[in-house]
Amino acid sequence: MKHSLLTACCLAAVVGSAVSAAPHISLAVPAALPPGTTVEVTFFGQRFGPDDGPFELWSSVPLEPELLAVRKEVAGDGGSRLAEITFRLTVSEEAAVGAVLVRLATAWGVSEPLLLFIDDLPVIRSEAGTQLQSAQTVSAPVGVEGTTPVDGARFFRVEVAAGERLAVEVFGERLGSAIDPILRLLSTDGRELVYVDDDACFGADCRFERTFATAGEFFIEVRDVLYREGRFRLRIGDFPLVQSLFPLGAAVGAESVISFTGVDAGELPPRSVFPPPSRRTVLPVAARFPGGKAAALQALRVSSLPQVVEATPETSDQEPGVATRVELPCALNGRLEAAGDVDDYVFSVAAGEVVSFRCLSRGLGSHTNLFLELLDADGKMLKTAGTRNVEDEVLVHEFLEAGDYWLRVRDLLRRGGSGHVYRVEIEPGRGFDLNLGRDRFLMAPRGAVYVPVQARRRGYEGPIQLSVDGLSPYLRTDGATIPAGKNEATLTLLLAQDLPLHVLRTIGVRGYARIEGNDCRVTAGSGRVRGLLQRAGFPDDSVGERVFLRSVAAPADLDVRGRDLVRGRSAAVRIHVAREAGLPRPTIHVRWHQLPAGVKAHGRMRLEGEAEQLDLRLEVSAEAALGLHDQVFVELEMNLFGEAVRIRSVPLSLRVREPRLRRL
Amino acid sequence: MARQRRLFSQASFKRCFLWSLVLSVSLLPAPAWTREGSSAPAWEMEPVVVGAPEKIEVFPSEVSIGGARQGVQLVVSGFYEDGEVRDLTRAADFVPDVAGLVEVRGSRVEPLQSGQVAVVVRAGGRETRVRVTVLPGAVEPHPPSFLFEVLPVLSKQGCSSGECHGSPHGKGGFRLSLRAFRPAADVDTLVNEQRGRRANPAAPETSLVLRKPTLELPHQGGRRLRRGEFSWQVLRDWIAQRCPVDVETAPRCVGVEIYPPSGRVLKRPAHSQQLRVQARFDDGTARDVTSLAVFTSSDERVAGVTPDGLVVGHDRGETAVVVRYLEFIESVYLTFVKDVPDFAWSEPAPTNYVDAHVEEKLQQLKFVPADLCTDGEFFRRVHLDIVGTLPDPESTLEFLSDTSPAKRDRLIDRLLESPEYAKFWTLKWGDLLRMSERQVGKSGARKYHRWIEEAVASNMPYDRFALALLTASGSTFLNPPANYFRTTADANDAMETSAQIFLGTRIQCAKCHNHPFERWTQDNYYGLVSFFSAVQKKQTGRPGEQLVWTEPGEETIHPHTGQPARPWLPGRGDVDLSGAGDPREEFARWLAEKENPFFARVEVNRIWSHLFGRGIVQPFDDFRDSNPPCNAPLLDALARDFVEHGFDREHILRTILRSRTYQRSARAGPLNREDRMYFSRYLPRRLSAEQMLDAVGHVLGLHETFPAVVAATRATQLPVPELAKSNFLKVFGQPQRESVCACERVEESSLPQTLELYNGATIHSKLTDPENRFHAAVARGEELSATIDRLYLAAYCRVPSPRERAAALEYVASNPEPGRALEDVCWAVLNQTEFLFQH
Repeated sequence: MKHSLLTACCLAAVVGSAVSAAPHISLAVPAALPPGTTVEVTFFGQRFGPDDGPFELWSSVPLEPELLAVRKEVAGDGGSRLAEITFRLTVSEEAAVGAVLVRLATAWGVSEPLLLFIDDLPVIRSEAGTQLQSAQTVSAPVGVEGTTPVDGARFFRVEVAAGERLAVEVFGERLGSAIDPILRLLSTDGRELVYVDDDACFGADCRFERTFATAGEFFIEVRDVLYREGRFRLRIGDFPLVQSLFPLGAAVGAESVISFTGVDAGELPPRSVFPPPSRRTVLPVAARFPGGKAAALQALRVSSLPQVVEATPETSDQEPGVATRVELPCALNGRLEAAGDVDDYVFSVAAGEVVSFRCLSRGLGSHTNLFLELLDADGKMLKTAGTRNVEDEVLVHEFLEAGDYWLRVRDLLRRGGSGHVYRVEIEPGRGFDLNLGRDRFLMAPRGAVYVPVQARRRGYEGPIQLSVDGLSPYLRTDGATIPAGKNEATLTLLLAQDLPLHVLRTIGVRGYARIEGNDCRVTAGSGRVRGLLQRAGFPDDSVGERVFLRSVAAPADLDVRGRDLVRGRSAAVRIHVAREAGLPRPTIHVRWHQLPAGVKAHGRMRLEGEAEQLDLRLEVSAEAALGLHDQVFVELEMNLFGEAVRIRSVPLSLRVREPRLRRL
Repeated sequence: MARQRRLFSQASFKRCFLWSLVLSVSLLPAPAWTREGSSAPAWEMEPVVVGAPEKIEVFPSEVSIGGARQGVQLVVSGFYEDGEVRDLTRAADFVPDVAGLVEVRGSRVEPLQSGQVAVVVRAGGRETRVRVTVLPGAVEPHPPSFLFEVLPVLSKQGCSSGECHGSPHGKGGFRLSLRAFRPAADVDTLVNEQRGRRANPAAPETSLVLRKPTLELPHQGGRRLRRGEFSWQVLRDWIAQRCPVDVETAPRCVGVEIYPPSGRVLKRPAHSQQLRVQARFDDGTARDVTSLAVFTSSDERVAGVTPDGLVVGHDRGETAVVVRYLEFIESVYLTFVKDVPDFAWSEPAPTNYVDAHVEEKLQQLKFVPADLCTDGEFFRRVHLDIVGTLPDPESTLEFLSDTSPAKRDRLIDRLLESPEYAKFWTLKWGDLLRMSERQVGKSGARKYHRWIEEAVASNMPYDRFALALLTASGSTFLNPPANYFRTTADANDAMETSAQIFLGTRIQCAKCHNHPFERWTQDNYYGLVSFFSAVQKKQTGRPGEQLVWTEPGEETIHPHTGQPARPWLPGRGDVDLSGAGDPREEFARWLAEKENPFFARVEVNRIWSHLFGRGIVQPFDDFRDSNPPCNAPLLDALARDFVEHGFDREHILRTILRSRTYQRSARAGPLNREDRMYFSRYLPRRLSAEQMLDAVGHVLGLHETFPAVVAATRATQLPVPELAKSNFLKVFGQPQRESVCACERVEESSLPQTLELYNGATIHSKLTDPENRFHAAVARGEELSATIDRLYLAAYCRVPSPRERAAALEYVASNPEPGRALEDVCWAVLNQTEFLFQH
């Protein structure tokens, strides 16, 4: 035979299901859990049902989930009903109010995160109608969860006593909901008494408080500004309306005194906090009136940086005041007391030193759009931050000369006031941050997972070594390196043949570089999770530092054997793929890896529908690298509803040789 | 009727199409000037009726001539016993008392020799003398001034106009600066380009600038000069004198003056007025530039003007004659009146100052105002104007049966207090402020709309309203007025938008060159832009949100000089912004000053325009010298009242709505049929697109529903045009809010509108809907006569006349299907001008 044949055996042993895709959860009822309680929470979503177990619920704080029931989604004439899964969750008494992320894992993958809140208000589900006449009667304090109707609003009836104060706030954006909620307080004849939309602290979500002169009945309307459908959580109670904290942050392991800003700040005494050592970058703080039943939720930034709290008097651009000298690294905490207020800081750096200045304001509830100006000792502007299309910008500057430099802090709009608090975290030294391009993957036995990692460099241009923590006997990696001057690399995770199915694993991706004689270690985080938490008002960087891996059965498998190849000739390849009954029939892409130089695969590299046979041809050039190549492998990539599953063949041995001389 | 409706698409379509073609051709404006465009007006000149004046006066009464081409235009006025003043210039005799010193050509004195002479002027049996001094050396030959003679000549002949060689790319390879605004560049073009062929001193008459406009050589622009005439002579002499250039050395012109000044009223048979234009220079000299100035009339229908400055009246009315010399533009306002047979004034005392000013003008122009409209007409009109929608039949009946004399005033008050008033007038502001999802995003538009609606509902003083918009900063979500700057692309756009909305001025032309028709210069343009150059914008973390702030110190670079433009404000001049925080605040403070000649006038004119379908200045956002108000005292009085009442818009609305002027009938009589602009009657106008859709829905009891708004939202209350995916609205001219120009809202009628009303899907589906007003009435067994009455009340705010009712009943009775027959009746009701128009 002139051509040789590579044969493939078909091996597949997976358990099937009709769903076969990563689950999606869009709603939790209730979405808030009081501390010290056990609550049954039902998650609504798609792409899961009773046959898709085992189920697992991951949460960013311990919730001791216990599965109670699963109901599959039903397609009906009038639209489909969402699938439901109910867990019993237990929140410890000590749990701090704030945001919690949860993910649902099924046999087919892991969901995107969903936000829950730990909140001290009792929770009820909205049964409100879309007219005043069909309003739902509620009694404060209460948290009401529901959805806004398309082209309509939800109405709630509250009864108040004379002199009673009520605070009302709505969560929409902070829940990750698409709505931009509006609150209206209406009299019984439908007259608008209060209309609020947007909040300087919380963005789309809004709130109000009102002290009622007379007893009576009032209506609260919740709707989206565009009359869209979406989740909301309505809080009605005696909680204070707090804007932000001052200072905005505290040092880990040290006692700090914080005060509140906002209309009710005067009635809230300052409080001491002692952030414990932790990877968390945010500490939830509850603000409650003395004797109050409900708390306002607020976040305090915590870090190991030495704390500096601004103490200079008000200054202005025209008359620069005395700058506060600070030692680096540090976290500056200040307040722009009045319109036009400018805070100046002076610090020393060595020649060639790179310093990063991280602005923190809006993400922590401050009103201020922070604007930084970096000046040299002569007042010459070196760099600014705050005008780019990002929130909480990071300014990075390399100082060419040693000496004193000024950091000038003001509001971009030159505003000021008690809510105009800020924090600037200043860290000298070159470094980098890492971002996970994706943070959830499917893994199959003998498969591979590619994790894209991006670097944002801060004065360091050298290579960055990537590694993984949380490896197991079933999961290995050779690591990866982001080359010098580059900002991207892909980390490959390889799965063992005997990888247990339906296991949820989380790993961390670490970056390491030796920079100026120091070890620099960074954990990669998910920008998506960071954004979700930022919108929720609890921007904890540590929560997004995990990669989620769910082991699943692949709908196909292969086994390929090596053979000899001859220079200047081609070898026909026939690959058989067995597709498992009861599983989807995704298109399978075939890729060769580590082929010897001069050998190329030709032919259709795709198997569609029911096809189980693929004919390829390996073209061997006359200059192909001779010898034994034993690291060649074939990879099948299957897309399961948007999630990629890859499996690899065992390494093949391909020997490339010269053609034999034919005897004349 | 049914047959007519169903056959429309076959025969009527063709007929309508042909009619529209005929109308569109016949309505094309006739050119005022011949193709040659040299000096002859298209209209005939009537002889002057001199009569017997009590005295005559000549202006100027004393003349000093300092140069050979410095002839002087004389203007002779006759004063009559009844107080009338006539221009007798054309009829007067001019005889120098000493021969040989001066020559009078027509009414223009030209020097011949140095010396003193008296020119005897006789007209209507009266005589007066003008003392003329020809200064020594005045008749010596000296070259024409490039700056004061050559360039004005080129401008007067139209050579440097935007349509000819003044266009950005010139014409035929010959490019002059527009209206000679850049003399230095024109020197180069005329003298140095084309190897000197344009201006050839060796053989001046072979120069292209003389041979082409005289058509000695082919000239695409036609004949512009005649050999030997004044302008030809100026150019020829300048070339012959080797093209001297005095751009740097000549004294600067500092202004022009026109005689007679504004305000002269000419009563037929007096119907013409000679103008005289004098330029003043910074060396203290002055000279007659009548022959060099360019004259245009703002209303050719009322009066035309010859190139020599003779204004000839054609009809009753007012016109502004705009006079341009170099970059200076001045206007003179003239009124032409005539006796009208059967005219008699019998109006009662004015209700308020609005009536007083309108009626004074009507008396002057001899228009008899219409009677007051009926209660039904008023009820319909005022609803459409204040809340945008038609009233329901029940409230109409209630109003019609009310006998209280104050019921109209009470209705006005009630409507102005209704939430629908704020919603409807927010639509008007939405048009001006480019409130669309495309411009400000979906959420941004809602928040912006809500802010405007609250401002209207709370009757926010207009100065505060403007200040809030013009100085807005911060989040476009948290502070919705900041969207004002979101809709503007840059500082230029922000200034142009502000000028158009708050100054009623379309200043865009001055961006590239001095405004060709107005006083605005390029320096003015960039001086105004300086107030907005500090505005910065950026995206925030929230989708659709922008942050607006100012960064003082940002300068506007004048593209011509390459230097920072000097901040400038009309009436105030250069402004020092150093040390100022937000420069926009300075602009806004100036804008809202009580003395500002634009701010209050523009807004009251806009309000007037919304109520009458045309402004006192029309278009309402186009204030300029060449577009004078049709009743300046009225505009001034409204503006004064507006200021005195703290820029209270509702006060102005109430004042106008309560006037007899507003409440007059739309029916024209023989003594006011010709009036289209002095408000002797209410001018009917087609309902706007949104009003029309709401009105159709109202009559049929089937309102259109729109997505993403509260259920009962009407088309007139929509926050953004994108919500209405309605072809009906597009056809009737709903603007997409791409620009701040009021012209984006199409108000004209068109063939597609006719088709939409005849057979459009919107009308058809509502007519045939079993849930509509009359089908439902038939279904519940309502008496047919009552159904027809309610139909008329809903559509016209009146019950049908006995004849109308009988015709409808007869038609329905003759049809086996009453419901179908009622569809036809309703279709006919909807296609009447009484329904389609506000009247």
